[in-house]
Amino acid sequence: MTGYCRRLQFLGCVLVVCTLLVASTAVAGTPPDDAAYVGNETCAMCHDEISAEYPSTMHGQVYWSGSSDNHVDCESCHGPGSAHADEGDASLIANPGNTDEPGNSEWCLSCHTELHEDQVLGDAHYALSGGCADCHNAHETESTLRQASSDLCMDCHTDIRAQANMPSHHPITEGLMQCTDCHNPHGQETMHTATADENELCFSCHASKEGPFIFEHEPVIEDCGICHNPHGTVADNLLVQTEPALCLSCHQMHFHTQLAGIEGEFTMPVYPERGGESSIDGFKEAMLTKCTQCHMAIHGSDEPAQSITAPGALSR
Amino acid sequence: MRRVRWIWVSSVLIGAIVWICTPAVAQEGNAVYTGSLFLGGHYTGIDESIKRVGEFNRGEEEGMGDVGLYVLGRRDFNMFELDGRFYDPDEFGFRGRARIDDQFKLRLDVQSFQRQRATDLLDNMSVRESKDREGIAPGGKMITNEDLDPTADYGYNRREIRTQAEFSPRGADWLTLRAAHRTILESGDDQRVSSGHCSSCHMTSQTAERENRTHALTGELEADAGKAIIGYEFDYRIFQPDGEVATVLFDSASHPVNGGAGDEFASRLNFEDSVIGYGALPEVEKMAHALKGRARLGNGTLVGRASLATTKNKDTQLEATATGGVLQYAVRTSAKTSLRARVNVRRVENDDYFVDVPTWRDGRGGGGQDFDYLRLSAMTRTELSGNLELKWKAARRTTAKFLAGYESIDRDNVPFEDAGETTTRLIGQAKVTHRASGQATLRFGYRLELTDKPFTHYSGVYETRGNGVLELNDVSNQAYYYQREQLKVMDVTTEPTSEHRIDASVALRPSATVNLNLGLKIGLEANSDLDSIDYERTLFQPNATITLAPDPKWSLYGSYTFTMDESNLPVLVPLMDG
Repeated sequence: MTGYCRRLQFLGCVLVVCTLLVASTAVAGTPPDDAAYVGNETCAMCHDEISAEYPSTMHGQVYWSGSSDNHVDCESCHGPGSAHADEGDASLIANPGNTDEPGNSEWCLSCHTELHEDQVLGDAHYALSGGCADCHNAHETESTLRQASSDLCMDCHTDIRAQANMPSHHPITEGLMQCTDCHNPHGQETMHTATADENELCFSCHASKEGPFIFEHEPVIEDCGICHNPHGTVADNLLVQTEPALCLSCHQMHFHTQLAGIEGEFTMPVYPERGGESSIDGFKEAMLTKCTQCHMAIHGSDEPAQSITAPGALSR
Repeated sequence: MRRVRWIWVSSVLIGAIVWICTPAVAQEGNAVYTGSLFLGGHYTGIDESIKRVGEFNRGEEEGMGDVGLYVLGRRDFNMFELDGRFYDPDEFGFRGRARIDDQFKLRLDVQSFQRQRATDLLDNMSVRESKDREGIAPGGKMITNEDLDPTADYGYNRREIRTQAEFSPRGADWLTLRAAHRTILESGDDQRVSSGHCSSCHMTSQTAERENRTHALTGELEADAGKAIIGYEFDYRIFQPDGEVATVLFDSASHPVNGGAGDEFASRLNFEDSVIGYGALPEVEKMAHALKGRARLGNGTLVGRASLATTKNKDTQLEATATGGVLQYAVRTSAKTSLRARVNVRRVENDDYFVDVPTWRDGRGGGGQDFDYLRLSAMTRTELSGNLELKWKAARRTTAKFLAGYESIDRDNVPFEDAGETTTRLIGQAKVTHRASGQATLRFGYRLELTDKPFTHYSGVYETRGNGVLELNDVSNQAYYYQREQLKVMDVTTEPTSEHRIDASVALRPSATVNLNLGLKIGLEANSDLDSIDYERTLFQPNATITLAPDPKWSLYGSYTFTMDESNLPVLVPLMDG
């Protein structure tokens, strides 16, 4: 291990320790214990615009059914409002929509219990950010999301937005895919993706790559991410590096690359109708431009190679 | 014709949602309907330019109507939503959702789009060997190319229908049934390239029909017994390639200059002088079963999953079986901290395959070797991973996560038979998020991975002789390169033994209409366990993004990312290998 790496390891440890030393006992704003419920009509006296629209919102429609069992009104999410109504002080009432008080998301999770489980279990955004209100607005009419889902994700994940705009990308920016096709923003049992096996996630759409094949390409089994970056790359086909550099990071070159070519036009003596233009570097151009010109079945194949001694059949 | 059929199928499915849900929504009461209709048109003129505008943006000389529709109906626990866009017969999408009485939920997604593929002109495939370094004296090795379909326009249309349904019987809301179906159809043209053998290394390009279908069916049953939920899930998937396989004539091998030695070359090849299909994909069928459970245990939640999956190549009858399980316990240890422990184990076994090849140089002096072999699968392995993660709300606006993990992969036959080499990895990670105010968020993450015996490929670059001693052929007194192949054990790799990742970002929102993000990623990889090289790779990637959205109807977005990715790649020119 290099000295540079060791220094970075040390720096990482220092940062972790420093973070552990940072603590605060600040308490998120909540209604006082003696606050009482005052009803929607009281809320509407000041928040008339929100009150007027609320019946047509998703929360308003789905849960404001009129039955006492499912009756959800303003104070179901904002808590008892008497103190706030009396004083007009915003700190005396809960506001799950305030991203500056992420603890207020507990109000949301008290009903959405399945998400409560997931945010504990998974790699949830909840624990890292401003809570549910970072992405959701409970008062929206058509959807509780603040923006179209992928735009919403990329507002924070700007590096992914940059990758999604690279020449080769999954069609996220075109609106043909959503981030949620692969990721569950509420958290899941796996670290990043919506299925237990990240390769399995890829194969659910790209089933032709899974095999099993007679002649395997081992990285396909190991991890699709060895060769591909699913969000976007400069190289074609979402490859993390351009060919042939990517291939040559594991494989050796053909010995033909060392050959010199003649200068000028040529024809094949045995097949005079075939020919072309040759140069001294012609073999390098042929063998070191794009390996998949010949090795097309790069994910695996059941077809034998032409030569008996070849170990596999990626050549076809 | 097929795309018209798809549009009809889509329309019928969407109509069915409306038909089913409208009565439920349109009962008396406070029903709400909202909707919008978009009507437009578009015309593209390309004036003989190439059709490819972008991978997913196609240019066609055409004019076409453009229709968008959104409808939302809602009353109490009933709702339906339709959202669709028709751009042209190849590009359209519809999404429908419905919920009836909170018992039945249905989701439908239909999508069709075109993907354009680049055409490889193969013009780099043209050379004849020179025996001297001046490029004058012609040698025997040659490569030529020919495009059999020079006007081909490669690309395909991808259509998908996905339906998901969930049902909870009235009076038995502890039971949930889920079913999903998904069809993916890809149809179009692919470019297929084949290469002749040495005497006529003639690269030919032609069009191959792409007609791939994937069907996936999922069923799930879940029972909620109060403190515990148990469930069973099955997944069935089949991939069927129906396109006509491209064929090519592999002519008789001979000396490239004088056309002789035909018998000698023929005795070294698997096939020649025959028309053979190539680039074919097998039909693959997959079936998976899983038992799932979730239960409250103490102050936490225990989640488990055991699964069995078989994947079968129906053309070769190869079958891979994966069995595994995941166990996870997550608990809130205090008001500010939670802990998650997770263990995952999986065993994959793939059939070995006997490869029967013709006897090498049969009946010729020094020949007669039998190269039949048993292909051992790299898929066969045992994987084990575990990690412990602590989440800590360090302050009102500061959250930290710490993770310690262990992974091991024991591949039975990589890099060689019964190798018994196990890749192990230790992982440490810390992430901190601080919301300085409602307008600023700072994120910092650091990840360290230390790997022992990273993955290597048996026939890759190698720096030691390997698992044996090279001996000359008894008869010819020569060493053939198949003998060298057998000795290889790769120990040069660009897989790192240590990896550091730093990810930092600042998100600023000075006003509701302005969003500014600054980010920096640093990656350092190294492998200092190699004998002949100290492999290192450095990634440095700062980025800045600004989004201005003065009005909900339009926004301005600008982004700049700089990437420096530097590595001392161990590329080895193998002198005398062959």
